[in-house]
Amino acid sequence: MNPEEAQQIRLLKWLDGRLSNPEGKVVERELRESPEARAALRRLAEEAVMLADVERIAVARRVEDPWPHVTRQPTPYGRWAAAAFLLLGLLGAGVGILRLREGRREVARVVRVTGASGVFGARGSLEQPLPAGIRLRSGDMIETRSCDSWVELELRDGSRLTVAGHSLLRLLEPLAGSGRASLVRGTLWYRPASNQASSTWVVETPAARVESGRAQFDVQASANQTLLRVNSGEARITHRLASLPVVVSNGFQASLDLAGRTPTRAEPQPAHVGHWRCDLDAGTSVILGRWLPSGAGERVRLGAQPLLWPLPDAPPLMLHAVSVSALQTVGIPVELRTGARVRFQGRTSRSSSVRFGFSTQRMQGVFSGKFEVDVPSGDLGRVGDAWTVDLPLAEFHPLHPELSESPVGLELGDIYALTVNLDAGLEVHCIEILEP
Amino acid sequence: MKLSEDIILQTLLEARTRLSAAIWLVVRDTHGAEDIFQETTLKAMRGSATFESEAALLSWAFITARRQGIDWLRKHQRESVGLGEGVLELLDREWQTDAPASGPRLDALAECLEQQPDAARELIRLRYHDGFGCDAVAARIGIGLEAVYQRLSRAHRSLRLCVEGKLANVREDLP
Repeated sequence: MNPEEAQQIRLLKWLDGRLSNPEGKVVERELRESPEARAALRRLAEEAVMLADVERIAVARRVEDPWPHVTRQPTPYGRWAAAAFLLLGLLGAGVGILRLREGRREVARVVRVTGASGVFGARGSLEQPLPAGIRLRSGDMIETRSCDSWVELELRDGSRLTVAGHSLLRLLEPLAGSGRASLVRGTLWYRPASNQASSTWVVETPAARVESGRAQFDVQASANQTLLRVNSGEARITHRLASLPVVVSNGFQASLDLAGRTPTRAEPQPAHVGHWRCDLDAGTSVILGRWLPSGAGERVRLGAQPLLWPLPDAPPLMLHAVSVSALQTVGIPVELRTGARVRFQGRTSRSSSVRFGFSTQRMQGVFSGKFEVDVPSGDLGRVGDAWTVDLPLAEFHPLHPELSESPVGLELGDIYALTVNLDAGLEVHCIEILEP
Repeated sequence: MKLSEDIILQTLLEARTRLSAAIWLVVRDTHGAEDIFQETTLKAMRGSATFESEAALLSWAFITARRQGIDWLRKHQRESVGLGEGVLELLDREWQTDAPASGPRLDALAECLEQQPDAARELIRLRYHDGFGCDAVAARIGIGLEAVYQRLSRAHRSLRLCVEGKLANVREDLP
């Protein structure tokens, strides 16, 4: 190793905080006394910021490519014009804005929609229902309104973002080469592009900031809590009031409470279970429903909540639904196993068929569709009496068989019961997944 | 004579690499350095201070940016690299009298970076763009920490030689 290389490695270690105290003092003395050492440090620092600039320009150029856009073929970097692109961004509008900006960009394209959903345009427009194929710009906000809806987005770098039912997601202006979105509530799955061209993605939630490059992860967010699960790669999560992120690796998760005082730690994702019983107690994560006074036979009653399901070229449907998040309730993934049954206990005060359903994702993977079954009113017994329905998994139909034809082997997401149009006074008292 | 906003902006943009590098030495985060550079520029253009000369502006900018860098460290609860005030002032002074890193230099660096092997590019991206410490870089690409320092050092050297070669060619090509 020549002296120049030795000096540079010493500086790199020093900048990285890796030198011992005595070694650091030697470097400092050298810098104080030697103009050559200072020149080497200045050169290193200049190269660091210029190299970051070059990467930023490369990311900005990738973002500017038209659809479809996902290749990582080396293209010659621009001449000074490319740098001027950054500088023009810096110049902003007149003397004002020193940020890289160029109006609202197209940041995503809707590739698949199911169920009730809408998009609130940043400039006040409203598209309801959300049409597949529509291009979304920063500032646009997607709402998946019903428990059986979901939306899949293709991001500019080819990554996919799936938004689960009853979620609210706002797309934000990319910053420093990172795509950004604010998950106000609900669940999303992020899957990076397979061509290794994914840029960094940031998901802001009310409680945390999640940052990821080429990780596959899912985030569940409410007003106070955020759960990040990483299934491949590595992501970082930072509490809103903290500055140091927690690194969450493949197979790990981090749960974060807005009011939590203790630092978040990444923990191995718990082993999945095959049995789950939800008595709708205080720890239940209710997505849709309203609590009813306890009755003669039932300690807890969760009543259906009305919500509109907009339809294209037709009046919207009114749903009355109860929905619960399995993972957020139990904190452990629930696996739907061969021969398992889904048991609902509840009541209807008017004669109506009831639709039962659940969403799934692959174990440590991405969204894998919803499954539903309609139970006629006659099978629920006498109107007004409490009923128990035991539904084998095989009776549930896939809403999107292209994702998965069977729920067996998948992880349970949200689970729901609803009536369509008629308010049948649906209430749920207990939900259970029974192992064979 | 008071510098106009146009001249302030032009002067600070010309000094951008040097100023950002000085900030980076304090915060060791390229995105943080970029933010502070922008804040400093805004402050220079909108603030109450007036500048009689470009040298006065640069002197003010280096001091202001350094202070903002220290605030940034506090806000992000990060440790300072521990450079004494005296050394920082020496570095700033030398930066202020230095020739600016020109556009062609950045252009040449971009071209040289393209010619680097993928592994070297990845290393540089992780360290300087994504802002990972060398231990995190080592873990990500599956090599030892010492190897990261060595490869990073070689990448810097290789890029430097490449850039100097390209700039020399540009000078020879001039009419």
